[in-house]
Amino acid sequence: MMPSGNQKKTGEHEFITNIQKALGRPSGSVLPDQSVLTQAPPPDLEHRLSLYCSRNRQDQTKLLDLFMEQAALVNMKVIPVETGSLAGSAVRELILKTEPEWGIEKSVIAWQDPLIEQLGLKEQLASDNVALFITQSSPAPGLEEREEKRRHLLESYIGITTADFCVAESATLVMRSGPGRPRAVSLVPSVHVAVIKMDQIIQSLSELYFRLKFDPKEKEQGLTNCMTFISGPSKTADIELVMVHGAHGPRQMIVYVITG
Amino acid sequence: MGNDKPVTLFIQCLVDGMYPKVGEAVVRLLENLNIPVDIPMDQTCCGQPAFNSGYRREALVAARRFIEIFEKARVIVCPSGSCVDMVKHQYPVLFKDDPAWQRRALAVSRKIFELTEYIVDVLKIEDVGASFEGTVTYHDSCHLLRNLGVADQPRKLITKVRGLKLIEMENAQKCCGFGGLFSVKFPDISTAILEEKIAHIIAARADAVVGCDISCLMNIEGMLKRKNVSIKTLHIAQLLAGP
Amino acid sequence: MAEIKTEYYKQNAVKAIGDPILQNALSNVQNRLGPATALCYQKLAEGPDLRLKAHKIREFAVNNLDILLPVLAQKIRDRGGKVFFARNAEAATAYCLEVARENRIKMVVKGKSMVTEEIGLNQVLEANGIEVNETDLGEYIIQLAGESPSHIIAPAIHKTRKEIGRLFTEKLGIPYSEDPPVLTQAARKFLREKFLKAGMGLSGCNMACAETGHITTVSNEGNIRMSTTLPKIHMAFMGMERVTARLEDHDVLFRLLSRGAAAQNMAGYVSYIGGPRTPDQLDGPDQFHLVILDNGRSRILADPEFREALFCIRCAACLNVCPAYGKIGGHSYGYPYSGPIGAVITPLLTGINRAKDLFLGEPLCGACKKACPVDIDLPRMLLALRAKAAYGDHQWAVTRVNPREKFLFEIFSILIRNRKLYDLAMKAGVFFQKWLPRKQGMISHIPFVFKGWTQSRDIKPLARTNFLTLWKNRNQKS
Repeated sequence: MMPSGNQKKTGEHEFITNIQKALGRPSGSVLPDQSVLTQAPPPDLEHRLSLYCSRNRQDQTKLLDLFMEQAALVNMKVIPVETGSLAGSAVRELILKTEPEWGIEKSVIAWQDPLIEQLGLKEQLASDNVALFITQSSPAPGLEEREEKRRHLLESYIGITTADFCVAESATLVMRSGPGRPRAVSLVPSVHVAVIKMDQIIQSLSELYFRLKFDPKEKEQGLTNCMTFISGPSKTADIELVMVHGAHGPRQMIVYVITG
Repeated sequence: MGNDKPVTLFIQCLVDGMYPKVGEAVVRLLENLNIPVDIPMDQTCCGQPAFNSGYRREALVAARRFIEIFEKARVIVCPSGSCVDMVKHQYPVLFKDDPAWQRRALAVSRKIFELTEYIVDVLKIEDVGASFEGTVTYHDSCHLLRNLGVADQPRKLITKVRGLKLIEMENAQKCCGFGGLFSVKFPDISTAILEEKIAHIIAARADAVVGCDISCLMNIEGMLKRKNVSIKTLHIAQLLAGP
Repeated sequence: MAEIKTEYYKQNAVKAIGDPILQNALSNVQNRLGPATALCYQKLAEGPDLRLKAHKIREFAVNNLDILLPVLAQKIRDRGGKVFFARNAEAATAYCLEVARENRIKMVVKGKSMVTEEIGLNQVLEANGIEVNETDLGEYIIQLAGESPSHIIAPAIHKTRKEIGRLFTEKLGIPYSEDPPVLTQAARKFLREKFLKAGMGLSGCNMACAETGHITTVSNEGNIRMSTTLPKIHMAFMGMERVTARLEDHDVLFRLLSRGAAAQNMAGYVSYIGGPRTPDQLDGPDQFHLVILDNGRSRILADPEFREALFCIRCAACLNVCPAYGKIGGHSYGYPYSGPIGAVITPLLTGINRAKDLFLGEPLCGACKKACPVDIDLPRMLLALRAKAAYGDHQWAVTRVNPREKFLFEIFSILIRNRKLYDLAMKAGVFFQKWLPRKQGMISHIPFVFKGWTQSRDIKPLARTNFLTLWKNRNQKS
């Protein structure tokens, strides 16, 4: 019988002892050997990091082209725009011409984020009959506040986020969760709009992991409790292998890349 | 013994007992290329049927005997990818607890070649001077293709045959469903896999289906005949050696 | 535990082969995914040999499970998650049920997970009055139909759009349609409600990372993100082998997993989850539980001959190329794991004798090894299982499966040792075969052991004079 409540046994000791037996190792607590877990920084660390962080305009344009090419394969629309406010008017256009999936009211929800502020959505949408929710929150949002935000989320048919990185090779947006960045904004609304800056586009998954692991800036933040990769709108091929978009997540995904 | 000959032939049991004409074709083909062959008269079976069914002790008996008979050869050639795979890759595994025999197994494994592999990769010959009026399609045998990596060699030889046109069938690299005793123990599954192969062969509309392993060809021939389909089955040696 | 029906392999195979709709679906899957995956491997910058590197990564992790799992657990606990180590299916399901009861959960949503199929989680929860909703479209379809998955990543491939249309009309009350977008939209709508109401979300785990302390979930539909984001509790289940040591290991593994599973460059959604919502976050579950399952895996780990089976990342690439799977489908295997990987791990998890037909009943063509993104030598292990079945095995409690066959191979080993006896046996064969029925020079029926052959095929008779005799005669003449 399992003891109940907080005293619940984890079963760990017996479990691990059994594995040690299977591996033919002496049982008992093993001090984790750091070399098993993590690799020492490579000798060319500084060099690689500086290469990654100092791409010139031409390299960045190349990465943008690669991203667009790969994104097309997974039905992700990528639209380069010069400035944040141009992105803002593009988003407004999108809102005006796209009808909600459920209901008739038009509400959109956006992350609390400086890059999204550049879009000036509040001003853009001032004269339209569109509700704009921002995921601003108190330092430790209570149940009531969270439920209110959840209602906003459920009312919204377009969710607007940024991303931490965008991997060109596989058309993958990388988002870590954090205050003001609820993960459901990129998931529950019918349309997911992401806004990124051109210099957030990186080459490969290998570069991504390298930076997450060794770039002091990224290392400090870590992967957080939830890091998500998104490569295109939701899709399924479970009925006779016919591709259908919008299984559970967004049916449509649009990325605005601010190039200026 | 005749280990002064450049090539010692291992003629697997199915060819020996059921398809002696294929064995003759192999000899004729190599002799046409001025390669005299030696054929040890006490050879029997490489042990693959036992090994694939799990009977490793019985397979070991065959393996030891094979090594004893063939280890003096300069080069061993066999007209079957799966027998060569057995000797080359499974013998060393069978002897994993017997270092002395394993060494002998490894020595043998280094000098055994499947027929087309030997002609194309070792002799560097692609045109053996054969001719054939008609169209053929080629079936890749599993062990030959995946364990020995032989796919281009037979195709090179085939396409150099005068008067011949090679038509690739769909899924040429998919199994024919033979699988040794599998075909007897699980006839329904084996048949279903074979039906698909036969459909692709028929769809290729060739005069003959060519392969490098008589076991697959026996399987394919068995169903073609049962269905009264007039497509011929030819071992590659028969195609290349001429009548 | 999931119900074990491995002993019906042959009967189920016959049934599957006789089902034209299933045959069509299976060849559709194999013709589309098999070659596409192979092409994807070719197009990798590193080429198909990247699989060898992936193999090493998995090998390293599996060889260090005793170090990696406690580290993973500790990092998750540091973030406020709970980790439970379950020795067997009963312990795992009991833990889940207990958490559900403590939190008065009435309904759960679930992402597709093979390991929860293995432990029979749905049955346990449902028996205790908890509503379980599969949310992967394929799993949802088969749940509505009361069936089990027939493919590791495409669980409902055995159903046609017409069947699904009728099913949805009957169970969901929607007007009949056989249009995949319409059917998908219907499921989207019904399940949306469930996501919002469920008290607990259940998921599997594709690969954990010990270094950072995360599990990962992968989907294309977004259902797993829904299940792990919206309900107040998220509980993930992972087989104990599904961990890797270092973050950068995931570069190789995810690229290969996506290609092996669906010929994609990258799966639609990958989430790294390492704990519950932090106080400053607006969403995410308040509780995060990870259940790490043994259920017979440590026994596989202990046997060097089979340890490699634990490197598997459940992409189903081997199913998509296997000629046997391509005819008999997933249900014939009688356990959630099907195809070549199922033919190896199901016997090891559920009993070698009982599941013997799984590893005997396929032609050893080797396509699975070439398709495997982590280069697992499945044919080698199929052969090793056959050896256990041939002789019996104390360690795995196997009894010899076929004493008569053993006797035949003993005779075989005597014959092949002596060419004279061998020739004599062939002569006897030539003599006796004259009583067998023939048609156009081919034998059309053989009795006894070989009757399976002539069920669908003729066979060439033994030659009157075998090749070696012809050769001897020629040499004597010259």
